[in-house]
Amino acid sequence: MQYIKSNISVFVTVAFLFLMIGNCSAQNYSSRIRICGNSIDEKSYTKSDIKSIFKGEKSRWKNGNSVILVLRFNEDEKSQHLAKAIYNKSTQGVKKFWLGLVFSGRSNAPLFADSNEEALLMLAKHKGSIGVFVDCKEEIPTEFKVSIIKSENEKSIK
Amino acid sequence: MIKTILTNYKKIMKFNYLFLLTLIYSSTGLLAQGNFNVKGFGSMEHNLEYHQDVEEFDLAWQLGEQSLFVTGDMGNKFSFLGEFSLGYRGGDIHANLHRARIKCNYVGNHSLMIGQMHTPVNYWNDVYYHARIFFPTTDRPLAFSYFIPVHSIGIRAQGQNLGKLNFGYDIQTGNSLTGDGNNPAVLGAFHIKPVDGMRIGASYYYSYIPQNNTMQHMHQGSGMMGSMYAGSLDYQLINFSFARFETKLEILNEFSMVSSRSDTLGVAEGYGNYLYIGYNIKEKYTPYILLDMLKNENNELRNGLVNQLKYGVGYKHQFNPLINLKCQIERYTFNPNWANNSTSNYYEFILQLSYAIY
Repeated sequence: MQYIKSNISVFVTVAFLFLMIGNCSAQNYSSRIRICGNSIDEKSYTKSDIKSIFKGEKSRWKNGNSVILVLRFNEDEKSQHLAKAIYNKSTQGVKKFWLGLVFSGRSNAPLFADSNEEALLMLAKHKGSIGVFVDCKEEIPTEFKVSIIKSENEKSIK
Repeated sequence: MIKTILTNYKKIMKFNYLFLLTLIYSSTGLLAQGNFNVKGFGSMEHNLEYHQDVEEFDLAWQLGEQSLFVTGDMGNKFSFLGEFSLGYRGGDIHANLHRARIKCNYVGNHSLMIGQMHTPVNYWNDVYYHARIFFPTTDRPLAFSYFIPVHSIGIRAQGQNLGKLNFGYDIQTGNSLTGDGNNPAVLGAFHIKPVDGMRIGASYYYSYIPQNNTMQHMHQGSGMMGSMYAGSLDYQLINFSFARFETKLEILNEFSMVSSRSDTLGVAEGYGNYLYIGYNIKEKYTPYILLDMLKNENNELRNGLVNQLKYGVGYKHQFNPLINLKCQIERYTFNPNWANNSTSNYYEFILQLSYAIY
């Protein structure tokens, strides 16, 4: 009993950490995925909203800026992770998807970058841009950070 | 012969001039603030036809349309899209401007477009255009040779991805089916995308044709009866589309119904239905089947009596998103029509390589 009383703060901290991890895995894609936006509408979106945005289903933000997608995308493992997490496709499937959508004239092509650093520069340069990063070690300005929230009882962007 | 060479030379030079302009204006120095892209699409194919009645084989290598696709931003709200192609047919080079339109995304997901566009009467014409790399089968539905107003010049209001069902609309007015601006055609097209990869749509198109013998670019429905009936027509076209892609089982069904009314013979109707079913294996290998039929009544004065059936099997091999190979075996049956009162059957084997230069 004495052992528990003396270590209760440790137990509470560990329990809190477990709860946080559980909540994070319910709310976020994975700890590898970061969403960032420059001069967009909100600071938080649901996963379905993010998917809708990155599938080109939104043309313009409520603030009047055009929606510009920034994707750090090539053939490496990070891109495969991004393709699966956001689009539920392979990298080839994502390329095919965007090739067809742009050709139909119904959406503008995303800006593709080879590295997280390059993608961040694109994000900073274009107002209205939103990007997804995998394993981003670069410093992200606070005003660019976007969080993912639970989908139940949350507003949709539509 | 010299005249032919000169005419072809002028066409090539005109195309090269446009191409050169495109390359020049693609330099970031001139368009530092815009997002300008040029892409190319094309196809090559080999055909083998076997005509049962004469027991003969016809072999041919063909160069399909080679298209240049240009997009560019003009500020925050405006964008340009253009598509022009070179085709080689019967020893002649044909240059065509398929799309040249300016779009204004004025609010949210709503836009206004002006220019020459593909008439969004159905899924195929709204999504695939002239790039065979996107086609699920080697060629367009039969209805495109008779019913479908492929291109139109006019103004269009468009909305897309609205609400939970991703509702979209296209409301358009433009020159008539024969290019007559005094009698504009109207179109209302609507669709929903209830789940990823699925689109269900319908459209209504109306065009009053004052003179049926006015022949525009053949893509505006065939107008085969133009030489026999020069009077006026009320032309109505209804389409229903069901498309399901981005899954293992792919389905595309395009149903068209045309109703044309003339003072001479009253109302006549025609129907067409194209069905494609494919099965994706690892996103690269897609065996498929197709069934395409078209039937037009004898008193229909735009295209006359037409009775065609096409069915076949095929296989698509996707090397990567920029290049694929389709092999298709199909059987055509052309029943007696206004131009030919005998039945014609033939088999066709097509090997088609389609590509995008991205």
